Parts: sequence; C-alpha cells; structure tokens
Amino acid sequence: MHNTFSFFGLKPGHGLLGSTLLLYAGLASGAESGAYSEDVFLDKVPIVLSASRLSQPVDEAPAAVTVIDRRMIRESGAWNLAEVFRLVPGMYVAYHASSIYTTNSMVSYHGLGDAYANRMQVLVDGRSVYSPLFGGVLWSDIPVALDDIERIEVVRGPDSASYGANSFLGIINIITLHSAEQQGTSLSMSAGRSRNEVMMRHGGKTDGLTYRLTASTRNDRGEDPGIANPVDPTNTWTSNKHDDKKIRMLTFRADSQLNAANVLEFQFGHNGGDREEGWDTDSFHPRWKSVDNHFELLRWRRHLDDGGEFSMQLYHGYESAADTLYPAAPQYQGLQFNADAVAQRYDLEVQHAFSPSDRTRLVWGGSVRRDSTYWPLYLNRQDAFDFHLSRLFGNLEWRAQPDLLLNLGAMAENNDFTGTDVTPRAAANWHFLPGHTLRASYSKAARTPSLFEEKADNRYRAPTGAPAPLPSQADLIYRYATGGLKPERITATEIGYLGKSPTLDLDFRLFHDELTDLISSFNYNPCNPAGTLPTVAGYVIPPFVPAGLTQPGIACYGARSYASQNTGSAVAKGFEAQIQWRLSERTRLIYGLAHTRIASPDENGVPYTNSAPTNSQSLMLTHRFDHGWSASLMGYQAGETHMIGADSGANDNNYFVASSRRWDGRLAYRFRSGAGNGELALMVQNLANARYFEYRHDNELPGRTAWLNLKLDL
Amino acid sequence: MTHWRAPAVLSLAFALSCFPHAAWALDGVTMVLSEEDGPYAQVADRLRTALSQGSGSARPAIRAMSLQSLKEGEPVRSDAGQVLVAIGSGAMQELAQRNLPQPIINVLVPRAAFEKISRQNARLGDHRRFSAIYLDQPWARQFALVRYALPNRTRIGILLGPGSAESAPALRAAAKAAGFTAMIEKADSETDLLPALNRLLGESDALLAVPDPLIYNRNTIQSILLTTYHHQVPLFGFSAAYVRAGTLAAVYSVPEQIGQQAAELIQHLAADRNLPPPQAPRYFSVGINTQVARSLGLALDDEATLLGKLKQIAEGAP
Repeated sequence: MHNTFSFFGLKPGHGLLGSTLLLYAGLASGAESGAYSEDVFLDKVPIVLSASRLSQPVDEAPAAVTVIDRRMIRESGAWNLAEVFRLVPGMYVAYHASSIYTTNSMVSYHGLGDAYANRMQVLVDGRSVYSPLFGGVLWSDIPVALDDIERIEVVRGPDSASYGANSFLGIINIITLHSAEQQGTSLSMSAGRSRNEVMMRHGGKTDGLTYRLTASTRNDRGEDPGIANPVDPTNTWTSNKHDDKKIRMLTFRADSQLNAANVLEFQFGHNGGDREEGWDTDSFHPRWKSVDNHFELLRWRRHLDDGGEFSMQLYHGYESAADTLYPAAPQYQGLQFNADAVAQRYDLEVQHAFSPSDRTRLVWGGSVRRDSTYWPLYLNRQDAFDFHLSRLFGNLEWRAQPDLLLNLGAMAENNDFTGTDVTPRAAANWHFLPGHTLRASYSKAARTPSLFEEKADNRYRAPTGAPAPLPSQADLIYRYATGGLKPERITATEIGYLGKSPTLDLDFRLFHDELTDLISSFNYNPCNPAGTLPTVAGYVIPPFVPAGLTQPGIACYGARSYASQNTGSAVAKGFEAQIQWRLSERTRLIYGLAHTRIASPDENGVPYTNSAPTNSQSLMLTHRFDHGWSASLMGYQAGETHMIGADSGANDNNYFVASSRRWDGRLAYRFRSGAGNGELALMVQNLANARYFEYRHDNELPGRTAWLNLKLDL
Repeated sequence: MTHWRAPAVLSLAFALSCFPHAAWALDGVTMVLSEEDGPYAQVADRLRTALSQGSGSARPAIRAMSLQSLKEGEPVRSDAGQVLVAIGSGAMQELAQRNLPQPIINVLVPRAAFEKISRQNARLGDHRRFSAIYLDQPWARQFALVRYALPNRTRIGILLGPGSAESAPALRAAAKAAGFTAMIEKADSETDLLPALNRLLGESDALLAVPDPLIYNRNTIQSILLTTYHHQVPLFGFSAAYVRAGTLAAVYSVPEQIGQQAAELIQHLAADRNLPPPQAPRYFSVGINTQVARSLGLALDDEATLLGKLKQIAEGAP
C-alpha cells in the first residue's frame, strides 16, 4: 500500500505516522459531520464480543449448564442472590443455617452441604468469592447488586479445568453487566413486610471509558422471631434465629477501551453493615456483628491479530467481621471472646486463548494466590495465617467432525495443605440431528480442606467454676484440627441429552458422582488423645496436659471437642431435567426437576444419605399482558432432608425436615420514565402462607411476605 | 485485503476480456483522494491497477492528487478528454463546488452524502457529469442477507438517528418487499440510544444496522453490541470492522471492490464520456462472525455460500 505515497511526492518525515494521524483525525471527525461521510463505514471499531465475553452455547458446553439470565432473576421476584438458585435443578437452598459467622443462606448441589456448604465454587466476574475460612460462600456479604447481574451460569458438575480449585460439585459463575450497558441514572425503592431497600445507580462515559456506580442500602428483618408451627414435637425450641441485616453496598465498574485491541476493566465493591447472629438457646448471647467486605479487581484484555486473546487479572478480596461473643452460661458471665475475622485474598491470573487450527481452540493459563487470614477464635493465633495456591490449567476444544465436539482439559494445582494434584476432564458433544445433542463427560476434581478443617484450634479460656484441685483457669477446647488432611475427591460421569427447537429447550441428564475422602468432624480430645491421662471430671490438669497444648499451669478440657478427618464416602446418582418452553411470544414456562439418590455408609454418623432431597422441582411461568403488565408465578418443592450438621441434639439424630412446597408471585407494570422505563412491581413470597422449615427444624421461614418495588430511569 | 473474493476477480477478468478498448475516449483520469492513506489509497491503487491492465494503446494516463494539494492550488487538468474521480466525501465536496467541465465520478461515498452535496451544488439531475458509486449496499441486498442467514426471522428492528430518519419509508418498503416487517425506532440523541434500543429489542427477531454516525460509532458500538447480544437478538452490520467487533454478519464492499467498479465504469465510457446514473456497489463481500453465530446457537451457511446467493439476486435500485 505504501507505494501510493509516491503519487504525492511526500516530504521526508511525513511517513506512516503522519498518515495514520491524518486518518485518525478523519475518523474522529466522523461523528460530527452527520450522516454525510463515509467514516461510519470505514471506522475502526473495537472488538466488543470477544470469545471471552461470548457464552458457550449450552449444547456445546462440556458440562451441564443452567443459565439464569437477567430477565429470569427479575421475574423470579428474588429478594436476595441465594434465592435465585432455587431455579436450578438439583440445588437446595435454605434461608439460613448456623449461628457463628454466617447470618446467611446455604446453597448446596447434590447434597453433602452443611451450614457452610463448601463444595461449590462461586465466581463473580472471574473472582472467587469462595471463603478462605470455612470454605463456602457468605451469600449476603458478596459485594454484588442483584440488579447489576447480567447472567449466572451454573455448571452442574465438577469443572476445575475451567474454573479452578474447589470447582467440586458445581460452579456458580456470576457475570455482571458491562458498564456500557447501564448508562444513565436509575433509582429503585422497595418496601414491604420485614424489608426495605433503596438503590441508586449511575452509569456514564467519557471518551473510550464507560463506568457505573451502584449504591444501595437494605434493611432486612429476616425471619419472624418465634416459630409458629414446630414440626418436631421433641424439639422444645421456640424461637428462630436472630437474623436482621443492614446491608450497605457500593460497587463501581469502569471499562476502558484503550485502543482497538486493548481493554482495561476496573472494579471495586464494598458490602458492609451490621448483621444479627445467634439463637436464644446458644451458648453465646445473640448479638450484632459488623461486616466490612470489599474487593478491587483489575483486568487487561488484549485481542491478538490471530483472533486469540490474552488476558491478565489481578484482584484483592477483603472479607472481615468484627464480632464479640458473650457467653450465656451463668458461670461465664462477664467474659467475652474475640470472634473477629479478616480474610484477604490476592490472586493473579493470566490466560491465553487461541485457535491452533481451524478446528481447535486452546485456552491455557496459570494463576497464583495468597490467602491471608486473621481469625484468632478459630486459629488460636494473633497473627494472620498465610496459605498459598498456584495452578496451571488448559482446555483443548476440538471439532473432530462438524457435528462432534470434543473437550479435553486439566488443571494442575499446588497448595500449602495438600501438595500437587492433577484433575482431568473429558467431554464429547454429538449433535446427532439438528437441534439434538448427546453429551457424555467424565471429570475428576478435588476440594482442598478449608482453613477451618485443616488448622482449626477453637478454645475458650475460662474459669472452670469447679472445686479444687482444678487450677483457676482451663482451656475449653471445642475443635483441634489434627492437620494432614487429604483433598476430597470426586469422579463424575454423566450422559446428557439436549434438545432445542424454536419453542422448546430440553436438557436431561443422568449423573453418577463418586465421592471419596470426604472431610467430616469426629470426636477428638486433644487433652487426652490416647485416653490414658488422669482426668478430674473430664479435665486434664497440669502437669498431665500434653506439652504445648495449653500454657503452663492451665488445665485442658476437650471431651466434646472435634477434629476433621477424610473418612466419608458417597455415591450420588440420579437424573435432572430442565425445560424452557416458549408457549407463545408472551408466555414462558421454565421447569426443573431433580431426582437424587445418595448411597453412603454415613461414616462417623454424618447423614450423607439424606443430605439432598430425593425429589425436588421448580417452576416458573411468566406472561406479558397488554399495556405494560406482566406476571409470573413460581413454585418450589423439595422433599424431606436431614442435613449435615443440622442435628438439634443427641436424642434427635433421626429426624427429617419435612418436604416443603412454596408458591411465589409477581405482578408488574412497566411504563415510560425519563429516557427509559419505569416499573412498579408487587412481589409476594409464599403466597399460600405455608409454614415450613429449611435445613433444620429450628429454622422456620416466615409466612407470606410481600413487598413493592418501584424502579425509575431518571 | 482478505475480503477480496476469488469469484469477483474472475468475473472481473471476464468483464475485461469483453470490452473493446477502442471505446475509450479518454486522455487521462485524475483521482482526488480525500485522505492520502488508508481506504482512499486502496481505492486509488485498485483503480490504477485495473485500468493499466487493459491491453492496447489506449490506456489513459492516471494521476492521483490529494485533497490537501488540490486545496493548496495544485491545478486540475481541464482538457476535454479528462475524467475526475473523487475518492471520499471530502474530495466530492471540493470538486462539486468547483464547477469543472469534466465528468466527476464520486466513489467511496455514502448515498446520503452524494445526494446532499448534489443538492447543495445544483447537480442533482446531472448524473452525466456528476455521478457516483455508492458505498451503501442496496436495502434489498441487506434484507436478502438476513433472509438467507436466518430464514425464520420476520421482524427486523432498525434504529435510526437524525441523519438516517428520512430513510424510514424506503426501509419499510424494502423490508416489505423482502417479506419482513420493519420495526423502526428513532433516537434523536445519544441518551436516547439505549432506551430506544431496548424498546426495539423487545419486538425484533433481528436487528439491521443502518449507518448513521450518531447511532453507530466507536463510542456507542460497545453498548449496542452488548445489549443486543444479551437479548440474544442477532445484529447485522455494514462493514468488516463491525463483523469483527461482534455483529453476526454483514454485506459490504471493501475499497478495492469500489476501485474495481470505478475502473470498469471508466472502461465502459462512451466517446461522449457521459456517466451512468449513480449505482450501488457491484462487487461485495459477506462476512460472518462465526463465534457470535455459535454463541447465539445459530447455524448459518458459510460466507461463500451466502455471497453466492446474494450475487444471484438481480441488483435492484440502490
């Protein structure tokens, strides 16, 4: 092309650069000169829908995927993030569960979940929010506004090759809207029984940069204080958990188009406020703790000339709670324990995606992570504990035939707790007829023991209140990890069918998960490990306390203390179906069904067998009427369960939380507002006012709950 | 240019072999380039190459000058045997104002730009002396692409801005002729853009981008592409760059194809050097973003097949 320069007799120095500047000057003026220029045709525009932004079609994914899009979230009338997952076949959602460190919901897939359900990976825009402490996720503490979410991809099954460590029973991948999609200012206000919220968002742009800022404040008074309808007569408890929450949130996202090839993304988010915790019957008084979570994320993407993409992301997550425990027992009056927790995560990841040939695509990369945790109550140390993890991952996608797609992936991970591990995955998707796909996949994954499981040392130093010869002080040890745990392992095999027609999407699969080395708690007394030391009413007193266990002169008590071990095993099998049926232009039906059977010797008395409902289903029917009206109806049903860690006492090991059914409804009216739309919606959860329990029988959901939401574009 | 298609080259060779070069009544061709580089130079290059490939002795002398040097006073030869080629709207505007006797072929210009400048310089009915090869593809061709790519879609959403609003009736008619219903929304300013787009997406099976710089530019394309993608509504673009950026497909002409057509137009000129009426691009390409197609779960014919189908359609009025 440069031979054309000779036409013009260009002056020396007026070379490529000068011409390029001229060209860009021409392009920049394009928008101003109205429709009367060719610039709109010739303009160089950035690559927007790059491979990493595009979602893989469900029938080409190497695993079963449920996609919950923005519209589904809105129409479901969900009040908080965890509720959305009731729409995923095989997922069990309980409003909240435990009394320490989690005023929260539990979300588990294929059972095996306790209050801290930690066998799923959860990512928000590529950032893991899987807690470094107990594992699992503090659902109400994530700095993400429900209204900023573009879609949630739920991978039903392990996939560490694509999503990293702890992508064990499943992966929840939350993707927020690009800031360019949320321009302008909008306001949302909700008020109703036990809850209110105000949210404001502003999206703006300057040349080449778009941003959005979302701020919200929510007061949630949670469950009713008292249990209205106890299901189990043996249970004498009468009160629900104290679960009020004040959630203050601020999130910011900026996307900058540096030039046609390079994109920079920055995110910041904060979620804080006071949360109430505890039952009246707890060893500690109910209390308010103060949560302060934030994160910062920087991502650079570079589109390569060969159509590939290179990306680098760095984030810092900060999860903290200020909490003080006050014992309820009379002999401990006046004492207090520091239950503060500060967990920080630094994670750096690089990834390169490209096509080695016409029919193949390779994604590979690596990451390093450091989790630094200050958690004196559970680690019995005053400094932070550091945990390191590094990994390499790769996935090759090969279109062996036009109708046959093969995926082969693996991840190699090294961490401080369990050393090096390689977990492979293979999948084949065969489009045997247009619109009909068979998928078979085989994958292995591992879950690293959590800090709690591997390192816990949870003790309460207190006066014993007992007569001589006990010394004045003793360490009451509740948990003393023996360490040396192995990772939990899963081998998942599945066969799936996906049908797609203009009106109906059908997804059916048979699954078989084999789980080994499951970590569970067992009774372990570190004060008297071999049972040979002299004890006085259960206390081991100096000088018989094992060396290093307590400070000199301090007794030790641990008769009901616990440690973790890799003793559990289970085989989960069954089937799942999801249907999306577009009955008409205006009517849509989404249905999910799961049948799960878990076979396990229930080692250690852990109720693996009943930790998932045998049958569960969800339904969502939506219809758009004329004149801006729309309505949706949701139904959720789960069979009886006996969840891990949900026993209410020694005499109560064989109870079940009864099966439950609930209907939710939403009615909305949409109108023009400002430059955009407004919407007034009435949400009603538990339309039939059913009184039922989730997770455990001292956790009764409120009856019918309704609220109004008004959204306005300003 | 990767978009240059072999079939187009073959048809060109065929066309060239058919024309009697004796018909050339030209002494020279002067090209005026709006910019010295980029697409303007690509048009000039191709035009020069194509013209000089003609055998025989009647090859016209070809000269190129930049708009800049024209403005700085470099003279345009006014001999009777000259033809001027304005490449781009800048050159078109400058030459239109000069009231020159030579015929002027305007290329690499949008139809709207040509019509506006013709009107402003009272040359609207004067196609024999002032004509064009548009950069825009005929509506019929664009609707045909939608039809062949996505046979089951019927409601085509079109977002118009202030610069393109007057095309609405023509678009409606062309859509109807192609068996579609055009759903048209207008955005008068950039703040209107996303709300108008969202209204449109609710009622459209596919979106056709009409080149209006207020709607489609480097700053808005991100919002538009992301929003349409999240509504799972495929967008048809109008340039190779838009296909790369993330539109599902586009039919477009690259500068070389325009240059080729200009050369052939010149080779066809009769002795009186009267120009034909303004015409749509004769050579064009089809681009598909296969990644986007796959992600939307759409099975499209490949680019060559779609191009072949479009070529079979008789060219309608632009």
